[in-house]
Amino acid sequence: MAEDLRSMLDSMAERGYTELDEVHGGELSHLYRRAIKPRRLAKQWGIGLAGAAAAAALVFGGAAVLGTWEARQSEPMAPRPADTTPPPTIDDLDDARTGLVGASDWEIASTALDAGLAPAPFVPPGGSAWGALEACRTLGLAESLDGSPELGGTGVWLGGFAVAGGTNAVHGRAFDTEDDADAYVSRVEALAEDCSAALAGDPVGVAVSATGLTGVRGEGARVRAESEGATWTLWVHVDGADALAVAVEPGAEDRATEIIGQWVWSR
Amino acid sequence: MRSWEGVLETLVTERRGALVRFAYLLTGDRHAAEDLVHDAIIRTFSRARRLDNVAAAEGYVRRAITTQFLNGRRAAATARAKRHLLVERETAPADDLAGESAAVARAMATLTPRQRACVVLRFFEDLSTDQTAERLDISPGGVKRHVHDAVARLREELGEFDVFAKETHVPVVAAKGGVPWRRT
Repeated sequence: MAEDLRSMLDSMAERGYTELDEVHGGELSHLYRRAIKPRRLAKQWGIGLAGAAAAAALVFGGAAVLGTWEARQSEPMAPRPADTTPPPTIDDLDDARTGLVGASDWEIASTALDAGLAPAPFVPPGGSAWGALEACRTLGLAESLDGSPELGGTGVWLGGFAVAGGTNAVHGRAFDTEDDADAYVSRVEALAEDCSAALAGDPVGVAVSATGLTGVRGEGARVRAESEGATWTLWVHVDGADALAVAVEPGAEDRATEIIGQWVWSR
Repeated sequence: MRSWEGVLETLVTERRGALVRFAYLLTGDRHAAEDLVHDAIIRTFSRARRLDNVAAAEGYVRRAITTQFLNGRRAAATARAKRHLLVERETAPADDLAGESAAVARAMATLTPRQRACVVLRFFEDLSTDQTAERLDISPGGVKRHVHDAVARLREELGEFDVFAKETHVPVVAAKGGVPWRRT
């Protein structure tokens, strides 16, 4: 056999393929898109993937708040400009980075994410200076991952979990880079610290912690605003350049670690 | 159309044939080759956040094909994914290769999977020893050993042949670093 190995392999490959695949090119690309699109979205937002709940249940028993706080030297988030534009929803977005569909089968403790639940913002009690303090008002934007447009992406309402006592509201945001996502968390922490300092003597007390969850990739921050026995909790967790925020209404069961864990684990 | 969809369409339309040929050399079975390509395309495009370059995407798919071939995995998820991709073939595949190609196919079938992969990457993909080692996650010495053993085996089956028509070293695609899980 006088041929070289490369020629023999070429010949084998060509003969083995010739009759097979000269058809269906356009049809195949359409079918591939149909198969791939939901997977990309599920990967991006960690939703709808079978088995995530079981894995999360094993992991989140060990969820631990690290509870360390380091003062961050960062610019505060710019306040939200006053406008009447409604916040974006899943249906408004059709972009590879922010297209969000398929959340209907995301379940926590047999409770499905409900995009129809209206996110309830933090409402400070009467007599609080919260509403007059820019840091506190701006901190409220973090519930919807809003603000700091220069970091890229837009806070998107994903839905709420109706749990015992209220709702765990979930927003997502795809930042431009990991650094941008980290910067956002730093700003949330700095705002919370500023808000806490400004509220000295106020009925509302604010505490912030840097957080990590055992066995869950990424890190974030937890902000707690307490007043008269009621606690509003905001968790912001970043994994890479993507972030998830879970706001726990006063009185609602806090399932944030499970929600965040599912999101990360199934990405 | 999003950028990844454009890349996907171009890849499927223009490069899928080359990918199936590549997979066929690894598997020696056309249906298995198509399965590998299906799976690799879906895995690659499902995981990578941004794919805006056909050559890079093809590199990732080839890497995925090689990995899956060596792992020998046929996950149930793959089967589920392919349900969307089933198309009726208009031509019946011809399993009987003629003449010399058949002899080469039979000889390749006597090699171990890793030997096949080394031969295909070195002599069909024209990767260097180091590139082949990196792709297969083995040492360069391991590649040389597999190639040596494979060539010896092929010569037993096929008789004497030249390993190279001429020494070549042309990277076909840039695919270092694996499939980017996150945006690039």
